[in-house]
Amino acid sequence: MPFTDRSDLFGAVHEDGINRLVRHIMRQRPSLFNYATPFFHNNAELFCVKFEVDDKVLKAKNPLFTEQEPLPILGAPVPIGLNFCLQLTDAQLDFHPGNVFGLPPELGRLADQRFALRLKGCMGIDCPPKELIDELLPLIERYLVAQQQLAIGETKERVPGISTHYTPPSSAFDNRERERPRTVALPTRSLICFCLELYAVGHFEWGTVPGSQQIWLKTRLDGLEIVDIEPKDMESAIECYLTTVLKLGILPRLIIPLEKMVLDISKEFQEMGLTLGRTVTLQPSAVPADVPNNPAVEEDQIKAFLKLTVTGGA
Amino acid sequence: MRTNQKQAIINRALFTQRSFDSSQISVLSTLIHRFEEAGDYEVFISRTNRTPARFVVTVVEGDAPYQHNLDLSTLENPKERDCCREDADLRLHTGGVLGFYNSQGVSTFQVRIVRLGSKEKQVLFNHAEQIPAGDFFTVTPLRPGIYRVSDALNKAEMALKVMMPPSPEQGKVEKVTKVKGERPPSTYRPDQPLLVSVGKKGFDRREASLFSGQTLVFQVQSAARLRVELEKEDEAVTSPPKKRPDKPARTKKQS
Amino acid sequence: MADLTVAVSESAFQRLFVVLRDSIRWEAQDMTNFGPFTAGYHVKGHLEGGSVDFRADNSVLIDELDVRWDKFEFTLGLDIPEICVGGGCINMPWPIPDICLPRWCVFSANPDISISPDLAAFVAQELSVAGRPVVRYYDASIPPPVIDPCGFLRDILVDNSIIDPFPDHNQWHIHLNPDFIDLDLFDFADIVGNLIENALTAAVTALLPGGWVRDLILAIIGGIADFIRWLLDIPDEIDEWLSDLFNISFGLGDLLIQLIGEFFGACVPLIRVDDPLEVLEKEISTSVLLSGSPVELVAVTVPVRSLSVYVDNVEMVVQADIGG
Repeated sequence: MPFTDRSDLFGAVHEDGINRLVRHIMRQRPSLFNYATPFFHNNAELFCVKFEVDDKVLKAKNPLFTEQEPLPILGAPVPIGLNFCLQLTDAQLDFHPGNVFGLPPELGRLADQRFALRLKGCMGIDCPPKELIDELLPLIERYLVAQQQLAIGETKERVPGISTHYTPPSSAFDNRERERPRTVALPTRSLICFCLELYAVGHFEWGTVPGSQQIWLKTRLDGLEIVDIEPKDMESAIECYLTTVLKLGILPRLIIPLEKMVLDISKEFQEMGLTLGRTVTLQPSAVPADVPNNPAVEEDQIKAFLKLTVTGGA
Repeated sequence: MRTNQKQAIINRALFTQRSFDSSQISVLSTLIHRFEEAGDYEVFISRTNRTPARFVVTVVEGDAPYQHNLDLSTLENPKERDCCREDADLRLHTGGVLGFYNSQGVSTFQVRIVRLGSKEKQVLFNHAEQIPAGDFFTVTPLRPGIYRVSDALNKAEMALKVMMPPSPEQGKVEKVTKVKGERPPSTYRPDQPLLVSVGKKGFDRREASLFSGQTLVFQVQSAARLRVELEKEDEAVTSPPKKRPDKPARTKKQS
Repeated sequence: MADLTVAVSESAFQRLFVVLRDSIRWEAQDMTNFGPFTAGYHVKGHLEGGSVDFRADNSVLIDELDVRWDKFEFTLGLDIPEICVGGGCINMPWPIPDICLPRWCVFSANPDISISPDLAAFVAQELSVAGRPVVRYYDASIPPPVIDPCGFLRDILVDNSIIDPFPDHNQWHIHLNPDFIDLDLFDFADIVGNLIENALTAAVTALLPGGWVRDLILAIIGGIADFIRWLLDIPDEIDEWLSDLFNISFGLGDLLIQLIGEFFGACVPLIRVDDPLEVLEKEISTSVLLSGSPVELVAVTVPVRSLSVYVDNVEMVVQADIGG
């Protein structure tokens, strides 16, 4: 059966192609998949998972990760925190029928027109050694006493304060600047790493973006499961956090305009220097009038069906 | 459709000339003088109210051309002259000829030739007085009609009929194989002169016919003074063109 | 199964073809000096009609495309030679040389005439092209051949902003290799010959004053029609001469065929796909660093492998793989 029996234009990407594409994106845009404190710029060997980076990223001196503030040590009288890293690795897509990887029982079988995503997320958090804690504790106690910041309230004794490199300068508290002082990370020697596997099921749909004239292909999340975390509530909480990260952080960056799905004909002719006297637009074929699903996730591919519309001119 | 043309100036004097006199060189007439003997000659060309132009002709037995034709209208402008810088000789073979003519304009010229070398300047030839034997005078009448030709010295006359040449075939050319590069055949050639002798016994014929633009050559066998005058113009040809009739209106139904 | 598949239906291609066809316009002009005359043309044209057919043998047929001329100005300049009276020579008896007589010329300077009729209404041709899609890989690192006929044509097209120059990176190129290009020769009807002859006659006649002077001059030149033919060195039919002028001397038909053939054939690709193909543009991000300083993130590109194209009765299909 011809590809275009129900549309003017047909475009399809096989899951193998997408998975190769994702690997290229991971290698060329590592900052999308790796989040860490600035400490890791000079200590990349401490990342939980070694990741490949394309040479051009290194040549262009692009950051290998998106910088994050250290995890704050709550209650500390000075802004100190812990280095950490969060890495999303091993991203894979599987289009219906599912045959690239199996889903956890909580997500069931991969239904029609659905795709599955498997992600491995690894997090590493600095665990300060006992010696550092022992070194810092007297300084913290002294600071608290000097600043009269004890829970018990003021004391009669006045203890002089000291400055350490953990003590922000007084100008940091100058109300005129009204800036929150940056958190200083404690020195890190090693991280405690753990990884979780994440499975997600989703589907594609066409939609609009406010302010944009064109149609966008969007990825929608149907379900997410992290394998084997105890207690269950914690698993749920983390799943919720990750779902939120995916829905609001990662997936919106991956929306693709319609023309990127197929050969961009208008752009091609423009590159050839041919000024067309008419407007040639590509619109998705109508569902269900023209095709039952658009895009369709089937036969291990994502398929798009498009109509060519010629308007304007003489 | 655009048509454009470079400025083309018609030589009007050619078409207004009605008479020719051998004592004055005008357009369409030529004086041809033969130099029988070797030597140096000074030629004076005079024109009304102008300083005469002058140059030297050296006639030799050796290597020299037999003919020079001089356009008198260019003599005053050194750049236009086709001969004779002021100090240069014009060389001619013994028995050769100098032809004097005027290519344009209404001026007339007279020629006087003096032989150099003798103690007194000997006027060899003053064409204002007469054309010596051995010389030629030519006229190329354009206006069609009947001309009267007279020789005042020999008291002779003849008639000259100048006719309009036949008009060429208009419209589509016959489908015959033509050789590329050849002029199409024509019954009229302006470069076919007619030779008439004039001497003591007068002209060698009573009348002659030419097509307009052809040349009548008078071969002077004894000194002559010639005049050619248009007596009767061919009215049918030279009268103003009739006004073209209006194009007939499209046929309408007659009531 | 290929990683990427793109298919265009025949009917979509037909609609796109109409848009393409209507966008194509050209203009050309040239002037050549043939000696006694100069001839030139200034033409503008476009395409109309035609049909596109995808065929089962992997070929595309563009049939009966009409070449229409918006302007077909033919400029002919004649240098009118001297028109003179008198002349000739007096035959003298041997051994005396003949005496040659001067001539008087009708015009003080040789005039020129020039006509520029627009023959657009009388010229029409039909064009048919059949071709097969062919894929070639453009390797930007390989220098062009020493003899590069395509390069010369491409330079002309680039200089005239018809196509973009080939880039400094690799590309897949899809060409439509023509099996044949059929373009009617220029064939001017009798009416064109008459039109030109009348224009020339009018131009020559306009130089001449009226009355008997004109009749005399016409007699000297032997009639304008023959005079013109003599000047142009042409056979009987001016329209045949004109056809040869355009087909052979100007080679305008060859120029069009060459442009069309090379445009679709080996030299100019119909479609270009970058390799590697950019899937994410480079972007300036201020959220990667805590300081908010802008960072220019490199574009994300993927290698394209094994690009292929084929045509059957109903569609044209392009397939490719994403390299690892």
